[in-house]
Amino acid sequence: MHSYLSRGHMRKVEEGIPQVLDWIILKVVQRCNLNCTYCYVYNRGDDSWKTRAPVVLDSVIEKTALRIVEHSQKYGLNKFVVELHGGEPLLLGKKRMQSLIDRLREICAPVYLRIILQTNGLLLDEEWLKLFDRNGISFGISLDGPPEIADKFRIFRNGTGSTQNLLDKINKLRAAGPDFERLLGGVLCVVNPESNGAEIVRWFVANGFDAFEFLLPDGNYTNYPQGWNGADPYRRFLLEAFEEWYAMDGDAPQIRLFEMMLMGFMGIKSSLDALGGDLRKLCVIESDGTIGVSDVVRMCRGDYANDKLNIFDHPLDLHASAYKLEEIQQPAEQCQKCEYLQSCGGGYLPHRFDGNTFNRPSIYCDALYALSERMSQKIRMDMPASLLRDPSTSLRPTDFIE
Amino acid sequence: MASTPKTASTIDLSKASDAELKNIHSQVLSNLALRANDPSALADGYDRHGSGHSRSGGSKPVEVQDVRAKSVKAKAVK
Repeated sequence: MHSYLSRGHMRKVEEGIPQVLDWIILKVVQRCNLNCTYCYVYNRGDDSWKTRAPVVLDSVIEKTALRIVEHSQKYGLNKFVVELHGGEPLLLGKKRMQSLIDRLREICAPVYLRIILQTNGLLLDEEWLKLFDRNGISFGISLDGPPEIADKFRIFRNGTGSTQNLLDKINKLRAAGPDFERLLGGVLCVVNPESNGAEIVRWFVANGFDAFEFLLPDGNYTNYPQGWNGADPYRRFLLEAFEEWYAMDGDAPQIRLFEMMLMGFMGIKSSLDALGGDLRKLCVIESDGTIGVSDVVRMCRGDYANDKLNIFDHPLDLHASAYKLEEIQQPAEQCQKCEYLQSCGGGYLPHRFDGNTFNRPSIYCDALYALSERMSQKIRMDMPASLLRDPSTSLRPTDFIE
Repeated sequence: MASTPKTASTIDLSKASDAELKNIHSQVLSNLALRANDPSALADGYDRHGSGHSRSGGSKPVEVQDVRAKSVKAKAVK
């Protein structure tokens, strides 16, 4: 660990380690108590949730566990991640959730299951935290910033904003003890391009959040995000947020997008799907047992929204070939020539779809390019010159040496 | 306010020698490579950013407390 990584090692890191699926997203509930206007599940053209089992079937839970065991034996895995997702997964209720967890762990042994959960947080209470705690579950929440920003999109079915309800809930749970902070993994924040990135970063820090992520609203060349007016507002937001974050130095929170993109400049290819990470490593299991690609891809419609596989008839690793993932997730030809491919990875696959192919840069290319360029400038200014010149570092000299 | 590892180093790089800088860079790089590709292999179990799914907010390692789950875990390591 203390010796320099060889150039050969770094090339392997850049190429990525062998990609074996070790992560499933289990849709335990198809419904949600919110109706966020940008939601890829309900409001981006895919209505498949309407025809699926509202809550995950017992038979799907059991067969999923058996498939995890089968898959782990095939690939020599001793641990596997199950991410509980929805809809809103807490709508399952505590009793059924506990039963689901017990059944999964019971069948999956001797494979160690790491169970995580993503929630909008509105149903959280101390009992849920106790359930998570005793089962070793960490959770992420969705929060887009202060109510005046977030409630443009994060609304209840009656159209009213939801964010103050969530903030009140969080305050109450924090006041009750340390469990909320201890079990909270991080926060997903979908960018509202009308807001100021620096102000949003400061708001999260001031409200006690030390790890969060900026997500760009889902859309592509045939199905642009709501209110789309080009990538420029997102470019501005990301640059404002990055400058603010970078200036915080040792007090900076963890912002996944920025950290992962900066790692790209160090020669480390990000595993994050939004930065071109390999989608063969994960799949979605719907409540009725359908196996699919990461479900944001469904908004591309056509072949990518067709159910082709299910947990009863197929193993976990067929989705890669069924949906030609290796082929379609290759960076676009334009991206392969780009000097900043190592940081943005060509962007998120569903954001590259033009109606026929994925051989396009992300609709957010201008924003991601500008962010990469700014990061490169920062590294050039702040990295000691001796390291920039050193050919044994993984820094790419052409990026930083004039 | 939760306390977690911060992003920036607390070392004064302006006073470090080239050799020290290179050593620091090496350690940071090794750590980053692990965090990117096999975060659960780290001694601190750090995996806050998750391993690739952007629609997951990330997670922390949490010890399983439940008796039944523990017995399942014990069975797992046989």
